[in-house]
Amino acid sequence: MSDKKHIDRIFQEKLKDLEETPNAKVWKNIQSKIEQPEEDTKKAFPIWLRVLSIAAVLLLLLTIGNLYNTNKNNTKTNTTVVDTENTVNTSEIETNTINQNASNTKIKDSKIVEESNNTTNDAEFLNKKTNASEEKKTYTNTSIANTTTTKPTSTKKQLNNANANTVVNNKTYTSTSKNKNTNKEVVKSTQQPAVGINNTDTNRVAAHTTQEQNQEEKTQNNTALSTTVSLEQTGNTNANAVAQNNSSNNTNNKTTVTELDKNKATSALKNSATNAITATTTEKENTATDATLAEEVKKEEVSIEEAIANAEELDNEEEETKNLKKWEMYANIAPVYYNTLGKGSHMDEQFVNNTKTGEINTSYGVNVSYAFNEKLKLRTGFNSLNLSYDTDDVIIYQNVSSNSSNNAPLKNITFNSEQPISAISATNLTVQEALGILPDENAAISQRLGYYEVPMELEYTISTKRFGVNVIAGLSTFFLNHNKIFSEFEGRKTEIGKANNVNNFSFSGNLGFGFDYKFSDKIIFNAQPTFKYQMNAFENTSGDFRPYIIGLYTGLSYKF
Amino acid sequence: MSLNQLIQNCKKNDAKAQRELYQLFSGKLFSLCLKYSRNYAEAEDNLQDAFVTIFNKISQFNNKGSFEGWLKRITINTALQCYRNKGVFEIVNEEKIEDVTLEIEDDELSIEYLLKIIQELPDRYRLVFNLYALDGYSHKQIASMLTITTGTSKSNLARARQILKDKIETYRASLNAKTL
Repeated sequence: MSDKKHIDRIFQEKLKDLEETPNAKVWKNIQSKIEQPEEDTKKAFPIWLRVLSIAAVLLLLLTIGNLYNTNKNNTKTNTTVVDTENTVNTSEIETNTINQNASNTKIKDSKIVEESNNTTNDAEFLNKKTNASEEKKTYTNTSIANTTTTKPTSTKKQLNNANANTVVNNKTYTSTSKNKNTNKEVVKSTQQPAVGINNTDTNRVAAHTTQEQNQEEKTQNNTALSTTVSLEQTGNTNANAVAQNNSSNNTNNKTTVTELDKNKATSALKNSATNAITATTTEKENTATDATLAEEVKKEEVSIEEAIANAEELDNEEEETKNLKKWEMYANIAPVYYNTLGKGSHMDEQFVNNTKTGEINTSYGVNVSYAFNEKLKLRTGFNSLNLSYDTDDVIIYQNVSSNSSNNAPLKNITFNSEQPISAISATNLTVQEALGILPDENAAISQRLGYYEVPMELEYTISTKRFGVNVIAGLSTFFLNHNKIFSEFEGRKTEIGKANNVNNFSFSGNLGFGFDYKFSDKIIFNAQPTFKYQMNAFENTSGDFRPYIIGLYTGLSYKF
Repeated sequence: MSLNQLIQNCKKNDAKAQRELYQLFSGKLFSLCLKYSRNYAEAEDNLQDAFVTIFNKISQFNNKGSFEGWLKRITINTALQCYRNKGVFEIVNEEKIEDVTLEIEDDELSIEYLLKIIQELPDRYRLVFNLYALDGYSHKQIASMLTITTGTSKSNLARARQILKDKIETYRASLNAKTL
């Protein structure tokens, strides 16, 4: 009996020598699992998925960015309006204290002015919106109208409306005349008609409101006063000229009002608002009224300047909105089929007569297009394209005897291995020879090419309806990024080398049809069957080798 | 062709080199699989998965350490992975036992018999016994590989040894009974 040993040791010693040969089917299974997936399908899929997701994220960011930008613009204009108003406020309060004796009225006035200014912010903002779209205009007008009618006694709101409306008036005037001068004289002249209109319209308005005749007269006086005050303040001594200005601008303004039918409501509104001012002013002493009006005029000056600025801004915005939809971004993916038109080979003369099969591969990428007008777009982009092309009935073998003269190595392939490799086309063999060599399963040379494609295409739209149709024509530049040749034998692929006659740069002529479906005016689904004829992909081809690519490019595009 | 050259060619996905590598190592790795598996068929599956991983990851092998060690690690991990997926780690009875040194007589026990009783061990006992006793992993390493505590690992090892010893003794007894 031998010594006692630790159980671990016994197992270690015994099992050390264990070496079992696994069943042959295990290797077959391994082979099947490592060969194909290694090639492209497994790799290509996640790549295009990644590219697609990147494109999607980009689109998302753009959308968010767009939304964010418009929001920012809004808030920006808001704050600027508030700022200028506030500064005006303080200056106005100052003038109040200088001009007025009675402390009661002083407080009252400054309060009113202050409040009115604060609310003017809103009113002006509303007016800005009013200009931005006609529909909104009527909406805001009616809303203002409502406040004036429901709260006829609240002087604060009415005053503010009056301001707002005069601003509207001036603004429409300036914008229609397209006179963007911030020149003070222009400002003055535009400011005057507003007052003038108030003056003349007050009569009409009086009928609507429950105000007395005396008050109206007083108002007229007051407004007249205000004009003189404003004149003094602006240092314009030529009263007659101003009066002329007044009348001429008056008519001008009226025409604008009549021209812009939708502003009718505004003018009506303004009338009632002016009445409101009247109501306030008549309740106060004359000096106080003067002060308020002077301030108003001042304020108007400022608001006119703002109005001009706003109008300019709006103009810019309008231009922008016109530009907005010119750009379009596509993310696309396409099954592509690669084959040759003529009977030829890009590898070697002996393969000219072999059958060749193109395989279906994928292309994916991102494109951007710019629309010159509704019909014509120029587009470019970046696509990744994989092509594969099999030359059938070719047997690749290692040349043991290096002097087999009849089987020269292929002229257009640089082999990886230093061992001599030869290829025979089965079509060149006699039947006996072929029977000896040819395996049951097919043998072939498979060429894999990868390109980066930069297309430059024109897209002409035939139908712009929800289902759109267009024609695409252009050129593509191809940059070679992948070049491999595999030997296919009994279903297995072995890399044997690369082609040495593939141009790094090549071009293609593209022609395609595009069909699209517009989910919205921003998001569009595209399907574009395209034919691409390659022009100088290969050098040194044998026979008539004219490769082409057919792809069905599908994807989503986003207009911005 | 040197092993290094062979590895280089495998990195290029050269089918011939892959086959050669398989022929070179499949025997050793298969025996490893046999020890870690319940039976022959499972070992084959393991070997297959292990080689697929090896060929897919061979480009990550950077010539640091022994290539065979790298292959073994992948194979063992594959075997463990299969049990992780099957979720068998929780089944074992967690009763702790003392680790007593078990000594048995070293006589003519066949490799086949030893392999058989290893395969018959409950999954986790088998894995721990293999890792510790045959492949030299520490309890700490085993604990992290199997996501168990070192205590559990030690206890599992003791259990495995006990079971193996009992089996060998009854086997011997039956042999003796036959010869008598």
